[in-house]
Amino acid sequence: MSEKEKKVIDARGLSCPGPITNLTKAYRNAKNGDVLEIWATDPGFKSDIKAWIERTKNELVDLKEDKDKIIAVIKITAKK
Amino acid sequence: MIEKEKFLIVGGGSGGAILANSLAKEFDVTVINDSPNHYYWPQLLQIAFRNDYSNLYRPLSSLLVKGVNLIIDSVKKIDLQERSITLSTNKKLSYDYIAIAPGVTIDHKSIEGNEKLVNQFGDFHSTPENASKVFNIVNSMKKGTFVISVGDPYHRCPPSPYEGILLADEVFRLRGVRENINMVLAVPYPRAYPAETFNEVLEPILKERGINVMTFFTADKIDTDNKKITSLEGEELSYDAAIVVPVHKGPKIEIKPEDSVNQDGFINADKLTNQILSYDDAFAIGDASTSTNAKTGVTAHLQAKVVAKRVLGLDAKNTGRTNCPTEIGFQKGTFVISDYNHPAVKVPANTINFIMKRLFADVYWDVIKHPEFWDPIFDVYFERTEPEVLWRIFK
Repeated sequence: MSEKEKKVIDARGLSCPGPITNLTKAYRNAKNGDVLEIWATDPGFKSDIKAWIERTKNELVDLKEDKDKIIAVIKITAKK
Repeated sequence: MIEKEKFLIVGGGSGGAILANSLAKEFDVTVINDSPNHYYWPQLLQIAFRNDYSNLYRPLSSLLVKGVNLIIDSVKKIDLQERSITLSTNKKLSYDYIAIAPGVTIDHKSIEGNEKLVNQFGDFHSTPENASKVFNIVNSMKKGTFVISVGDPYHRCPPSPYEGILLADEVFRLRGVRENINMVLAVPYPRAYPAETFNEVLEPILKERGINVMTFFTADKIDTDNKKITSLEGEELSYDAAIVVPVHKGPKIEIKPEDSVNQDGFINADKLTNQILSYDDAFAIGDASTSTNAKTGVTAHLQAKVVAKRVLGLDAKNTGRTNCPTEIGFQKGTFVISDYNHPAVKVPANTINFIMKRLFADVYWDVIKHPEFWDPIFDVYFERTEPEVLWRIFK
């Protein structure tokens, strides 16, 4: 998967930590270099994703709030 | 006489059996199940920690009401466009309505080394045989590190890993070996329990009982020679005895069209109606569906009632209600109660909740067989215990 073909994980409407569990599911199948974009609406997602990045040492490319959702873009760099 | 429409139900677990018994008068209902028995899966926990097999299974034929047809066979293929299913014997059946409710497939292979580990120490999400291995280990271990690690956040019964570690703690304490055993619970979440509000109930209990919690730890590889679990997140955990909650996948049935299942084989069903894609004659209920609800019997039960009402022309919708009884050992329990609009209520642990859990296991079989008797009782129970109501009590 190239960066152009990033995988979108739509976790809107899921309450905390639904977005993180969906990310965990996708992370199992991901390879280094893959880009994952997670959409969430749960406000707790922002702190959870930062903690996940800190623990796993992957790269947080972007974390922003859109009109109706929080978007986190992650580059997988730490998969062993 | 007008011929009744054909309603096929794939799977005779909680959801499938309740749906069949709820529609027996109005439809020509046929249940197809791959085993002659109906299993009550929460009993695996009772086998693992109490050696109690009492409520494990009953013959499915004894739980279905008169008029429901039963076929014991596995389903190879379901074609939603053709409105047909193919059995393992290649026999084809057609339908007017279908509900797919075969439950999950436990996949020990997805986590490297888990087949070997489960052979050694067992687990409480797959089979009674594996649950009995857990009973043997918690009753023979004298010292070392005992680990329960979650390998898949979407496993059956969300509270089960917590019940497992707390019931193991109870066994170790009653055996007088607890002070020589380091207990670790490793979970994929940012905190001990995934739902932040319910974590406020559970985390202090785990702390009080001396259980160490590792967060953001999703079991990925197990080295049984060196007794180490490596997580997806890149950390290692040593053990002397370990149970890894295995990866759960959808049913092993070819379902057409292909976009009706996701990459793990779960069936794409609407979270409010359980309808599969745009097929208004096809539903997926219970553990096999992609519904964001918890994979529990109560979810399957409530979804079955919604589907039953919808095919009878009523506008019923899922509320996302959960009602997961959670044992914490020493005759105490709590409930994880939430819905789509309310996070899990902070229900305190007490003996009444424990008694309710144990009594429910005994009446379970009657609940399946006699929906007409139990439906009004459950309607009152679910109304009086709505998360909105409970949130006003347990702030």
